[in-house]
Amino acid sequence: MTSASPRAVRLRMWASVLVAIAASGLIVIASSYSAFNTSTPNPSPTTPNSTTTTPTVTTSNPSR
Amino acid sequence: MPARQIVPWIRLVVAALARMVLTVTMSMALWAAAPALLGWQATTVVTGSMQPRISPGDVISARPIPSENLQLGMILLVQDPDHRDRLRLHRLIRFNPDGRLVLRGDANPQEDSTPVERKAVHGVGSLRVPYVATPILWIQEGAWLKLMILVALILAVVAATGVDRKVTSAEPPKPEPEPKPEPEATSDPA
Repeated sequence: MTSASPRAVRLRMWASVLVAIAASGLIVIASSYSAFNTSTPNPSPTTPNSTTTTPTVTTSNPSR
Repeated sequence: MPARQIVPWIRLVVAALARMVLTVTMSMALWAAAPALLGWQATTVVTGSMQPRISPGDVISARPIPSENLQLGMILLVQDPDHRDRLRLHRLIRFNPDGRLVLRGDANPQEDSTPVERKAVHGVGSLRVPYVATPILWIQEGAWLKLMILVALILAVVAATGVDRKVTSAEPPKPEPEPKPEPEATSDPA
C-alpha cells in the first residue's frame, strides 16, 4: 500500500461523494419512472388493502 | 496469495463498500429534500394504498400543476377530503360531471368515497425516493426494536469505514533523515 498525499485524498473523497449522489440519483430516477410513468393501475388485489387510512366506502345507512 | 496479503485487501474493500453505502444513503436523503428548492411538495407515504408501485416509507415529491392540465391516470397529491389535516396520494381515475375529481388507490378495490375539488390538488407525483422515511414510520408506530437494529447497523457501517486505517498504519515507518552534524563550536578567542 502506498500513502496518498492530502490533496489526492481530498480529491478522492469529493469524487466518491459525487459518485454517491449520481448513484442515488439513478435509484431515484428508476423508482420514479416505475412509479409514475404509467397511467394504468395494477389489477386490484383479491383482498382489499387493510393498511390504508383512506376510507374507500362509507355506508350511507348504518345499521343500528 | 498468502493470507497476510489478502487481509489488507479485504479490509480495503469492506471500508470502501461501507463508505459507499453511507454516502449513497445520505445522498438519498438529499434527493428527498432537494425538490423543495423548486417549490415541489414532499410527503411521506404512510399507508399501502398505492402498493406495489409506492410503498409506506417512500418520500414522494409532487410538482405543482395547473388544474386544466390534469389527466386521467396521474397520481395526485391532494388535501384529504375526509381528514382535513391529512394529505392523500391517489390516482385520478375519473372526472365527475360537477368537475370534481374521483381518485383511487391502486391497491384499493374501490374508488375513494369522497370526490376531490380541483383546488384541493397540491401537485402531481413526480419523484419517488424509496424507503428513505421508513425510520420515521417506525418512530410513529413505536417499532423500537426495528429502530435499534437500524441504529446498530448504521454504527456497524460507520465503524466499517475505518477498518482500512489499520492497513495504512501497519505500513513500515519511513526512515527518518539522519540529522545533520552540527558544526563544531569554535572557541571565540577573547
